Amino acid sequence: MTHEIHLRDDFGPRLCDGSEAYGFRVSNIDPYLNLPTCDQVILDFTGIRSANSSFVNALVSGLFEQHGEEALKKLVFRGCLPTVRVLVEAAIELGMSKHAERV
Amino acid sequence: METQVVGLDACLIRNYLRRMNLLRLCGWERGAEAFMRHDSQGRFVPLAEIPHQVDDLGAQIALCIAPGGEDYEHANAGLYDTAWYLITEMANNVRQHSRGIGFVAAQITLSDGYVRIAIADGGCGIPASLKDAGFPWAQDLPDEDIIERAMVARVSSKGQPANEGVGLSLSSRIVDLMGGHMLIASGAGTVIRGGGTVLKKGRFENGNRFPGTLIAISFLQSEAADFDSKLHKAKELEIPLRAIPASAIFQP
Repeated sequence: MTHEIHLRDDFGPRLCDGSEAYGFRVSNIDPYLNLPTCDQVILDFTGIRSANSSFVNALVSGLFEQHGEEALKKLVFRGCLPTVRVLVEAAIELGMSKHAERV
Repeated sequence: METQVVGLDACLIRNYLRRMNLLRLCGWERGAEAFMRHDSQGRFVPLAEIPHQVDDLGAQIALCIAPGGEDYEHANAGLYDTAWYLITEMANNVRQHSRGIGFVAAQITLSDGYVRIAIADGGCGIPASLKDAGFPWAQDLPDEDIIERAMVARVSSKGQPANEGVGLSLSSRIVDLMGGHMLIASGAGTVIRGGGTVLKKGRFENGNRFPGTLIAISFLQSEAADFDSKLHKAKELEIPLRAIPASAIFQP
């Protein structure tokens, strides 16, 4: 099973509120990463014009801190503009670093 | 509480302060405006209160600084992205950390090519915020040293899980890379960063304090065109990467 999340549908074209992102992650992404029958979770950034670190870190970093390599295997980032991709990569690095500290 | 202003008639930049809405927001002028407002034509953005949702505020100011830049293919897109990123990150800090009312203004000076953005709030300030959050290292440090630490990645009073504390440090580094400076004044301390280092650090004279936080940013308009690469470089400098970076899956 593949679960697709179209961020523009939930947040519009600009992503900037970290607390909203955290709430969304806990309720809409974490459960699917924990689900054995879910092979892939696609985070679709198509149509997202702008994003800041507050939002992307709150959305992405914790997933990798919690799930580590499993998140790398299951998560797909689609349709990122170059600016957004830099922020996603930074959030992944932060999350993976913290996951390594926990292990 | 009402404030009183003294000596305004002799102030040489009174008309400028009036057009930037300062006098009205401070309650020093009331009633109908005694001057004609003109379109700022992308040269300045008057003081505006930071609302609960900072997204629209950031977009409005970015659009004024960089007309047309909301289109990713437009020549002003990099400048738009820079302004939007810096304003929303700083305004988020005001909204989430300071527990006070905040204001933002911006200006472009064509003579020297600098974009200047100022964000100020009347909240609790960075030193008090970090002390209240219980950081042991913050308890005995002077305010200027606490501000300096707050400009380093992964220091945030809000803490996990919703905040990684990289917003201020990345913003400061981006400004560095665009030939600019960031000044922070909060509590009794002031810090100016530029060129990748602390240029000046000190305290207000005579024991004075600024109870909230003032962040003043300047950067060269011409350096903002390649925001993507500046952001990438800032990330490399501020966030310690692991020996083997994670190979995540990206699709077009």
